[in-house]
Amino acid sequence: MENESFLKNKLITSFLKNSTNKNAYELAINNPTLENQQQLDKLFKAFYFDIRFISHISSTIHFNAINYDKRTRTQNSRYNLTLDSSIDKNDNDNSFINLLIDEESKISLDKLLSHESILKQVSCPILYASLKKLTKKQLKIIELAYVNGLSDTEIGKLLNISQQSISKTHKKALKELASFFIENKGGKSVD
Amino acid sequence: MSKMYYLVERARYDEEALLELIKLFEPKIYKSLYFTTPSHREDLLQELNYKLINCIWKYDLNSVPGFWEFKDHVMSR
Repeated sequence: MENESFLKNKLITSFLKNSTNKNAYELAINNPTLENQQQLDKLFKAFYFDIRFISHISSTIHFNAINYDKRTRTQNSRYNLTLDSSIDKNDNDNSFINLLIDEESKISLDKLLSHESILKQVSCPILYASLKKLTKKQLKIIELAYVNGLSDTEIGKLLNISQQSISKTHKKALKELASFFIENKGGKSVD
Repeated sequence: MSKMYYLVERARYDEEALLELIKLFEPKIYKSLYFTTPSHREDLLQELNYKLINCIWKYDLNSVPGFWEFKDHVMSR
């Protein structure tokens, strides 16, 4: 009979091991009223819920744990934390640290020049002497304008002074340089 | 219905019921921590607890089959 194989189902056998369940089952089979069948249904649902819920949760926990471990493993292999481990297992000379580039260590002529003060870059002795006569502030503005190539507005922003005031100091410094130049050159030309 | 059924039902709004369910599955979670390296276990514990709570909240309580429904299901296989 087909019911026999159903009764051999592990879940059903363990369900029927309980005497209350078995009584309800026999009652529903021998006296199949709607009420008896519903009672059996109810008992079975209560019995089956625990099994289904627990197995669902434990398999979820189980597979999530495995997946988590897989994820962290792949991530660790991609983003290696040890810089001195070798790139190739057979090649011990090359490690990950050798692949790093230090951006700061690049040397360019422009960068080098812009760090030097204007006084060290001037070769004309008269210009040097005239620059020395300027005030600190004037020298700084001249330096920023001609060595670093900034506009008055940019210098103003850098030194936190208004553009108008920079412009004024700039013009005055140039005028002083010019007058010093004419004075000395004039003296020389007379020589 | 079973005690667990009511716990799952209540867990949606009652934190104490949720906590009781989490305590119930704690041994299973701690056992699963051995799947990963010791340095990752704390992270995994948090992750699994999060998944567990999600699972409890999303579990469809009405999907449990009755006796006759289950019988039809087994016989059709």
